Amino acid sequence: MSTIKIELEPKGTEQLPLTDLIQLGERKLVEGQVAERASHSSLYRKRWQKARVDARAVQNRSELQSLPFASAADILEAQKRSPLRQFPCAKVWAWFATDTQGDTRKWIPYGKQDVLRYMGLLARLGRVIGVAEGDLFLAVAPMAPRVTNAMPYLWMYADVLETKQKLEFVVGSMFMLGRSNWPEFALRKQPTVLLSRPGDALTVVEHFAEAAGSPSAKPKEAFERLRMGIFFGEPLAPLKDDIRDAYGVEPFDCYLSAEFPSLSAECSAHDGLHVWLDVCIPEVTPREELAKEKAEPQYVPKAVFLHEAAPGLEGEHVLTTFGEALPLIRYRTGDLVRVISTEPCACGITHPRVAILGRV
Amino acid sequence: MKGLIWDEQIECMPFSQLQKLSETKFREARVMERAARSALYREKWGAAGVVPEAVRTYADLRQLPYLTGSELREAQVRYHPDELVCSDHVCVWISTSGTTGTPKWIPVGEGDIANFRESIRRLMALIIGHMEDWSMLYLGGSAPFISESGGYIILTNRMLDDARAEFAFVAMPEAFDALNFARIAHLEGVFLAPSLAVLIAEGVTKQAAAGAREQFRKERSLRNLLAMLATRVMRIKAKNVFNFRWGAFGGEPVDPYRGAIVDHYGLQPSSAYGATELLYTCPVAECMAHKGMHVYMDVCLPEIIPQEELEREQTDASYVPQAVPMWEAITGLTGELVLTTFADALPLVRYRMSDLVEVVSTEPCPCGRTHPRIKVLYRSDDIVNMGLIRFSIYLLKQKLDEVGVHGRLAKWQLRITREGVKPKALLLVEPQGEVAEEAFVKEIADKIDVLEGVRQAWENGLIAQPEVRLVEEVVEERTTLGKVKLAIYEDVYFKEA
Repeated sequence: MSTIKIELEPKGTEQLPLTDLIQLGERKLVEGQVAERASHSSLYRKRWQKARVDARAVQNRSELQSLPFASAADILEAQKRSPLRQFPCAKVWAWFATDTQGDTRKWIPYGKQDVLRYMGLLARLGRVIGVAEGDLFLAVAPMAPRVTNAMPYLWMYADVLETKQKLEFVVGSMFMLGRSNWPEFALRKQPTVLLSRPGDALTVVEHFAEAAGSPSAKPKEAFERLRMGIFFGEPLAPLKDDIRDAYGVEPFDCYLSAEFPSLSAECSAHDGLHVWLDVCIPEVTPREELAKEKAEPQYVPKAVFLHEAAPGLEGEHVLTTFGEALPLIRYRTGDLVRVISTEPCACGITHPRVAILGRV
Repeated sequence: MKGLIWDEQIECMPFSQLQKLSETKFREARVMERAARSALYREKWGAAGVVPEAVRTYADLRQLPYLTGSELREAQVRYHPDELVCSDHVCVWISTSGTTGTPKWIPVGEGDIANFRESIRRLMALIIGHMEDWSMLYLGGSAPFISESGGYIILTNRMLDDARAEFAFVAMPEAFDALNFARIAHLEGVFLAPSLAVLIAEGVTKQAAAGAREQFRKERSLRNLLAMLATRVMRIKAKNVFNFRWGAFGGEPVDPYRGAIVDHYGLQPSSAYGATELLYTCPVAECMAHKGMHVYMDVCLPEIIPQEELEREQTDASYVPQAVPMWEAITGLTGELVLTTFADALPLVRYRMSDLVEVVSTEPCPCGRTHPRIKVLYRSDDIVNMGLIRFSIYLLKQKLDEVGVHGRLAKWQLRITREGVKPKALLLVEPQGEVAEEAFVKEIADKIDVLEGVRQAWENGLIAQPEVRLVEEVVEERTTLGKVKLAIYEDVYFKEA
C-alpha cells in the first residue's frame, strides 16, 4: 500500500517549549499566507474590504488581532448571499456540515491538507490518551454530513497509513439503534475503547443491557475489556459521573467542531483539554468584554491570546486556523472556555489547557 | 460511449483468457489456504474431505460445497466473530441490513482496503469515464452499513492517488437537505438508491412551484421572479434543478427505475451491485455503455446455478445443484450468482448470493471491456424483493396465518408488480367461505403493514400501497418441478433485455 504524508508536526511537538510553539504558530500564519488566502473567501472578502483590511500586512500575531472577528452568523450569511463556490479558498475535497439550525446549516469545505490534518490529529489523540496496539474501538457515530461521522474511518486510515497499531473498529450509528444489532455485536467483540458523544453513550446503555439479556446490567459489567472512553461533541463534565458509573472507564474529553476539527484533548492528567498551538492560534474573549458587547452591540470586544491568558479566565473561544480550504480567522466559536493553565502539564505536554464550559 | 479504461491489459483481455486469469488470481491470493483458517469452512470442509492446498483450478473448486448466507449467519452465532477471520488485521466490521432478521457481519481487512484502491480506480473509470477532477454527492446509509464507510474509503483512496475528487457525504435520512446543497454546490455526480432518486425527483416536480413562490416571497430578486414564472409554464424536473451529469445507483436493481431516472435527471444511471459481502473485494458495476454490469474475473471466480437446477433443488432438498462457470455461460442464462472472492479478511468460497441474475453477454462490451456482464433480477430465495424493502415470504405467511377475525384465507398468492415505477405488492386472496369483505381485506392489509418497513415505505412514497384483492379462485403457479410459487414477479422491467 502506498504511503502518504500525514500533516503532523514531527513527534515531540506536544512537548515543545511554549515559546517555540508560539513561534511555530506565528510562522505558519505568516509563511502560510493564511490571511491573504482567507481574503479570497466570501466569508471575509466584503467584510474585510469594508473594514479596509490589508490581508498581506498580517505579518505577526499582533497584527492578526487587528482583523475583524468572524462568526457562525457570518458563515451562514456568506453562504446565503454569495455563490457557494466563492466560499472556499482552495480546492475542496470534502464538505461537512453542522447540525441543522432552523432550516439551515453551515457547510464547511475541507481541502486535502485539512482532511490529512484531521487524520493526523486523530493519531495524536491516540498517542496522548494512550491508545495501544490492537485496541478495538466501538465508535457510536453521529450521522453524516457531520464531521464527527468521519472520525472512526479517518482514524482507521491514520492507523493503516501511519501509526500502524492494528486498530480495529466497530461502528454503530445512533440512527441505526433499534434497526441493527450493532449493540449485540459490540458485546460479542468486547471493545477496549469507546468513542462517542457523552449523551449518546448514555442513551445506548439500555440497548447494551437488552443485548446482554439483563435489563439492569450496566455496560461496565458487560464490557469487561473496556478501559477508556473518548467523548466529543458536547461538554463531558455534566455527564462524566454518569458515564463513569455506567461504563467504569477512564473518560477523556475531546473538543472539535465542524468548522475546525481541532481535537483539543484531555490527557492522562485530566486537568483540562490541550489546545494544539501548532494547528491554530487561540484567543479568549473575556466574559467582561462579552458583557460590554451585549450592552452595546457596536462595541468590538477585545480578546487575549490563550498563551497569555491567566488561569481561571473565562470567555469565548476564538480560533485562527491555518486551514487550506477555509482558514478561520478570529472565528468566534460560540463556546465558553475557562483557562486552566498555560504551564506545562503533569503529562509533559506543553500546549495550554482549557475547560469547555458550554455555549456562550 | 467509450471512456477511460483504467487497466486495459486486464479489463480488455480476450475472453478466452479470463478463466486462466481467474484461476491464477485465485491461486496467487492463496484463497483456500487462508479460508481454511476460518471456522466458517474448517468443519464443513473437514467433513467433506477437502484438502485446501489441493484445490488449484476451477475443476477442483467446483467439487467444494457451496456456502450460503444462512451458513454464514449460523457460523456467526456458533463462533466468536474473530474465529471467522482469515487475516491478521481487521480494520472495520460492516454489516448487512438483516433482511431476514439477522444481519451478517463482514470483516474488512487491511488487505481488502489496499485492494479496494485499485477497484476504485477501475470503477470510477468504468462509471464516469475519466479520472480527472470530479465531484459527487454520496448519499449513503448509516453505520454499520457498508455505504457509510465506503464514502470515506473512496475519498482517502483518491487522496492517496492525489487524484482530486470532491465529496459531500450525507446519510439518507438527510437526503433532501443534501440535495439542496448539491444544487448550490453544483455537484456533478450522485450516488444513491434508485427508488430514493425517483422519490426525490417526484418531490421536486410537485414542490417546484410552491418552492419558487416561497423563495420569491422571501427574496424579491429578478432571478427568483423568473424562477417562479418558469414553474407556471413548464413542468420542473430534477434535471432543471440539479447539475448531475452522472449517477451511480445501488442497493436495489436499477432497471425498473431507469426510464424514470433518465426522464427526471437527464442522465443514464449506472448500476452498482453493492452486496456487503463483496463490495470491497469484488465490485460489480455498469459501464458507460449501460449494457449490463461487468463482473471482473481477476477479483473473483463467478458461477451461475441455472434456474432449472434451483427448481430441482427446491423439490428435492438433498439435491446439490450444478453451477456453470461464468466463462461457459450463454447469453440469457438466468440463475443464482455464486462467487468465490479473493478477499483478505473473509474470502467467500462458492458463496451463493441468493440473487437471481441474467447473463447479459459474454461478448466484448461496446466499451471495450471483455469481462462478462450480468444484470440482477431479484432474490432467488424466500426473500420478497421490493427494492429497498425486502421481507421473507414465510414471514408474510406467518402473519397471514394469524388472520381469522373477519374470515379465513383458503389460498393466497403474492404478486410483485409495479404502479408506475414503484414496486407494489398485490396479494390475491381466495377466501374460505363467507367473509365480511371490507373488514377482511383491512385485516389482511394490516398484517402486510406490520412487516418491517412496509407501512413506512408506502406512506413515504417509496413503494406503492400494497393491495389486497379478493378473487374467486387463486390460480396456483408451480415451478417446473411442482413447487407452489407463493410470490410471483410480474415486473416487466426485470424481463427487459
